[in-house]
Amino acid sequence: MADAPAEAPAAPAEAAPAPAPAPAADVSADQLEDFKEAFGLFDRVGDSKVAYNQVADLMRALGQNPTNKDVAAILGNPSAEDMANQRIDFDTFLPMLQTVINSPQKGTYDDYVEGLRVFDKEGNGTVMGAELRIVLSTLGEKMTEAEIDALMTGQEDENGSVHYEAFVKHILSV
Amino acid sequence: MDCHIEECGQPQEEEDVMDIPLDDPEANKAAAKIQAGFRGHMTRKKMKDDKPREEVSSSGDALNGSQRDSEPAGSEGVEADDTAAPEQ
Repeated sequence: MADAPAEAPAAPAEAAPAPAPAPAADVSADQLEDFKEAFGLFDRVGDSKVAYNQVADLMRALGQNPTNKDVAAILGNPSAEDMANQRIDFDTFLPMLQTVINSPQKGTYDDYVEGLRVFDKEGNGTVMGAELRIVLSTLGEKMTEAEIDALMTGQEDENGSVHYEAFVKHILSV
Repeated sequence: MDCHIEECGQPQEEEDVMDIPLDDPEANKAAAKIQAGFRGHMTRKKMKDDKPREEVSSSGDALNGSQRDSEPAGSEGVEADDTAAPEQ
């Protein structure tokens, strides 16, 4: 055994996740069980933790729609290495999830429809699928071709147009 | 279309058809919000497809055990594209 007990460094070099001051009282016992179950599904190592780079998907699985930037900020803007290697337990994850749940910026049906309406050149309730694909891959948090294909499957009509109100309803239904 | 000839430096047609506001912060913010909604939807859809039984409240162990092996939702495919390192 070592002479001196191993101590954690006083100030960790890497950015520690800033736990959000979220009230635990907002979550019902049932919801807590759901959260724990999902958390467990994402733990592929068996240490009752999930990796930083799983947090966004875990939150999405739990019904939230954080941007990747939101999640990175909640995690303390970690390096790519930390994203892959750092893991958190459920107690650390829960307040992060609550921050997102309580976020005032959540996208609503109207937000999405208005956002897409910008590209509705003819004002007829449709956007060109091709244009939407370009927007999704070049603006904001760019999506990959595979993601876009998965998203747009079955959404374009015979003219290659997307009826975006129906599209948004479909998105919000799951 | 005024500009078919080489007077103009760039293909004017492309600019008209695809006037995507690449530098507009508002447009980017709106796009990011939409993309966040899309990513949320796709993750949940994948999980639904991957998990035929909604919630089986039998011995959680069996369910969790098998789920762990079969990997939930193919999350790797949906993983944030800002990570370089593959997940083990």
